[in-house]
Amino acid sequence: MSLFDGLRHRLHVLFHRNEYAQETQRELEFHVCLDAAQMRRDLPEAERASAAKRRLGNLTLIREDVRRVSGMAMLDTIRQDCFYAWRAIRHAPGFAVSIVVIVALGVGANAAVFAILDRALLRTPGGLSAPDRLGRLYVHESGAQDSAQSIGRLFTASQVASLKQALSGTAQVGGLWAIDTATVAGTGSAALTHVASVTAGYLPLLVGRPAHGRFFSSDEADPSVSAAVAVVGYSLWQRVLGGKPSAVGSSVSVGLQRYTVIGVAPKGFTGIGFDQIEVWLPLGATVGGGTQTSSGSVAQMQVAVLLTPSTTKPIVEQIGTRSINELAQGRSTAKSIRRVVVGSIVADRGPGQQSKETSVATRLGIVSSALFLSAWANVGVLFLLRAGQRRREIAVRLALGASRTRLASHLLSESLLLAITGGGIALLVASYGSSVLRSGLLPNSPVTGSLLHPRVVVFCLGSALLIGLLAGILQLRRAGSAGIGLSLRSGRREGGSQRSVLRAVLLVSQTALCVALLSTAGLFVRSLYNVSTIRLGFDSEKVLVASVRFAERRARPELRAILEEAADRLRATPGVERVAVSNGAPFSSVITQSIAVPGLDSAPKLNGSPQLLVVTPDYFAVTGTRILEGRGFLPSDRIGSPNVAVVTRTMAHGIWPRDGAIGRCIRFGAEENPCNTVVGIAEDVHSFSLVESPAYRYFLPLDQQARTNGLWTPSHIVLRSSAPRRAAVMRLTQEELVRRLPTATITVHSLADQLAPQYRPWRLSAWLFTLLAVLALLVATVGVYSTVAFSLSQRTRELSVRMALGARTSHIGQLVVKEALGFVGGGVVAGILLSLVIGRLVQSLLFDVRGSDPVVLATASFVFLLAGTLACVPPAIQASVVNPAIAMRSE
Amino acid sequence: MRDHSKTRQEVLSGTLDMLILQTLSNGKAHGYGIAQHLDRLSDGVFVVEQGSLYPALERLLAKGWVTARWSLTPTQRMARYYTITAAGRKQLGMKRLAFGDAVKAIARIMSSKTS
Repeated sequence: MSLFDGLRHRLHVLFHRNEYAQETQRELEFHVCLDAAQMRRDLPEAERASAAKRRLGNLTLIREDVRRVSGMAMLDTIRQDCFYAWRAIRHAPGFAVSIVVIVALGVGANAAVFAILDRALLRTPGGLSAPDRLGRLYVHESGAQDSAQSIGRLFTASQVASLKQALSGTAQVGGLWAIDTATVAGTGSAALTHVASVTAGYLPLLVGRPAHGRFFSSDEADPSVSAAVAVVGYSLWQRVLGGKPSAVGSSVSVGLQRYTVIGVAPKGFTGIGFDQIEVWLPLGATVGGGTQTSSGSVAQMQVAVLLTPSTTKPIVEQIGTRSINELAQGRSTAKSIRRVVVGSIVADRGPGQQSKETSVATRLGIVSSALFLSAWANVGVLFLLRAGQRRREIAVRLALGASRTRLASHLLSESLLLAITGGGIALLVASYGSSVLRSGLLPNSPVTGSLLHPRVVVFCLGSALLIGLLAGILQLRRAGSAGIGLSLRSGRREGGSQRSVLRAVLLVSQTALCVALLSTAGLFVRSLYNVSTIRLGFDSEKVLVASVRFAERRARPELRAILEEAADRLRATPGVERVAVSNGAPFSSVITQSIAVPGLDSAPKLNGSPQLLVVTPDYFAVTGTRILEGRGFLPSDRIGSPNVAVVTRTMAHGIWPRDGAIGRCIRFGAEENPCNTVVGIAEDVHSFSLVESPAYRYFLPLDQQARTNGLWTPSHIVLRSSAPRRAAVMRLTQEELVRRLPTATITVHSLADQLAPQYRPWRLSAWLFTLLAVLALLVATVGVYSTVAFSLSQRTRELSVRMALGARTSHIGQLVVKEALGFVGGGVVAGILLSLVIGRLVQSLLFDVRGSDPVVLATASFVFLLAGTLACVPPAIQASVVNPAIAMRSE
Repeated sequence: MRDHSKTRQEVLSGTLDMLILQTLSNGKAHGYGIAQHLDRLSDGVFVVEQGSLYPALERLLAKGWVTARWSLTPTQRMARYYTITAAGRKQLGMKRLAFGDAVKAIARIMSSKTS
């Protein structure tokens, strides 16, 4: 094959260059020899040889032509350029290290962020059978009473069933519910992984067929059946189950339950969300024991659809919209209009709100781009300085006959070599950085495989090449800007530094970017502080919540007795300080119940109806909720004693702003219901998130409620434990309740664990933006130092003259600092303006701090001015200790 | 006497590869042998610039249309013999066709009478 023969020849030439050159020489000599032998015999041998050589032509030219055609000439040129670049780099190690470090940090940090964004937004989940026909359903809901609109991606079980029926023949519909994390243990090994409950149609529509075994049947995925079967992911099958086909049919433990493995998902498939799922259970199963009791009216399921080849998205949307609106007709008092939308299978690419992680990563990407630009600006400044230093050298080389093309090739080689080296190191930075980002954004995700997709590698090396190319071009322009004669004549003897507008612009830009990054970091640090100091209304580190749900209906007194008995047992558990019983708990479940207040025409509301918790007297002590005025509940607050209530501060001030709440009457439900007298005002309590809109909340004593309404039924046991023993207490509580209540669904969690994911984006944002800011500060400080050092090297003669004429060391130092601060000051002003722009961009990610916070801006400016001033110190000291006599003679 | 006129050299340019491949299609040969063959068969109509022969051979080697190997000549001297490859034969056929078309086109133009 010609390709193979040609390649083999080229490789032979490449790896045996000297031998090949000798072969060519021998071949030409052979030709001359034979040609000479054909000539007249009467001529002397030398003359015949000479004539033969003349007939052949210039042997040197022929050898050069052969070299050129074989590619050796090009290789030699590249080799020479690399050698020249290496020699130049060796003579300026500080410059080379600076460039490599700056490129590595600038490109690496961006690549790390890009890796996360690539995964969240760009990369299609692996293992899908027909990604072009797959979609995710969203529901666009607009209220008729106001103009509020929302787009959600969760559906109720009833809606999913209705959609499946309506879309039969048009699209396959599958639902996913209840993602949890659990330890999966097989034969000898275990792994922590994400677990999801799915409908029977979910896996087939996404991936088609399993790698081994089968998927769930309709019967198995029926919540009322809750078969103990599971489908595992391919990677988990290899890691935990030995990767053998015989693992299908074996038993694994998922959390506290055992399941039979019936199938293995295709290789590369780990779900369609950010969390990588490796175990799928049928709808209704759990990991904590018992079964899920799905409520048909609570939106909890994510829905995926596979369109048939002949269907289009508008058709599916139309049918879906009609289906869920027909279902809603007559069921809800709210007159909202729902529209089903088919969006991207990747949730963060679809309509509706992006996940917090993607939102943070997106803004991080914008800000890290500033670091990239800063790095490029700094590299540009350094190359400009270097070009200025080498003008004389380049002029000499031009004068000696070097072509401009070859010189340009040399200079570009140097910049590309440095940039590519930096790009290679950037891959390591990106790999490590993306792991850090992933652990920060997805701490519980047992992700296998590298985040460094080929796209990320191309991004890294491409960015480095671009920086190298642009820096090389800058260097070329600067080096060749003056003619040979001027360059040869000019130099240090002229005194004064060489001004460069481009260099000044780059330096100011880089300073501005650094100040902007510092102030952005300051905003996030301040937000984190504000978030961390929010009083949530309970002691999250010490509170555990056990949710108890029975599948069968039980009478309320019986439930109360069961839970009280369980609570009594738990009080004796080591590490448990106090126990209370309630019908809900923060970050678990809270009911709303409208109230009537005598003297008010309408039911008071604030961001929805008031939230109600029905609790035993110990509740406030257990959760650490402070009673600000009056009292909490007492054991004497029972049926038969005056009905009482405790309200939160917001409710007290909102409903009774002038007269105080203590002693006031509230009636829940209708006006004719009995009055509950407010006996205490508690601090405000957060119910669902760290940052939430204020709402009215009130508490009623459990022992005074005779209602049999399910929402008033006690369903939670709230415990207070000492923080160091929390994990042990959780485990003991779970075991005790499962043993005592084997038919109930028990879930035990700590409020701290519930809250931790909510702190994560704030912490991560503060940490990452601070890291970016520190990197930018480092990059910018190197730029300031290099600029000042170069400028001083150009002014050695001038400064020597000044010192010889009596200038003191302090004067020299002031001169240096003043010049540097000229650049830095301009950059700081530009940086403040840029900070205001970035502040507006990230405002939605901040908490209780304005994007234009003056303290943050002033601090960022001060930090940079300090760093810039410190960067001037070493060159200033160096300039001030120069011996004027030696300096002036050394020219 | 060979005619080294410029006109006749221009006819040769672009066809050297084809001529070398044609020569080698008859059997392997070294560089001097190829030059002699072309010189002899063209009967002096055109001269192959010997200095361009070896770069052309290098070009054919790089494309994989010929291969080269050192072996003994009948006079017991080491020479580099070139052999055409299957790909080279294919290229020869294509170039021959293209050249034939070019020659016919030129002939048509030259034989046309101006009206």
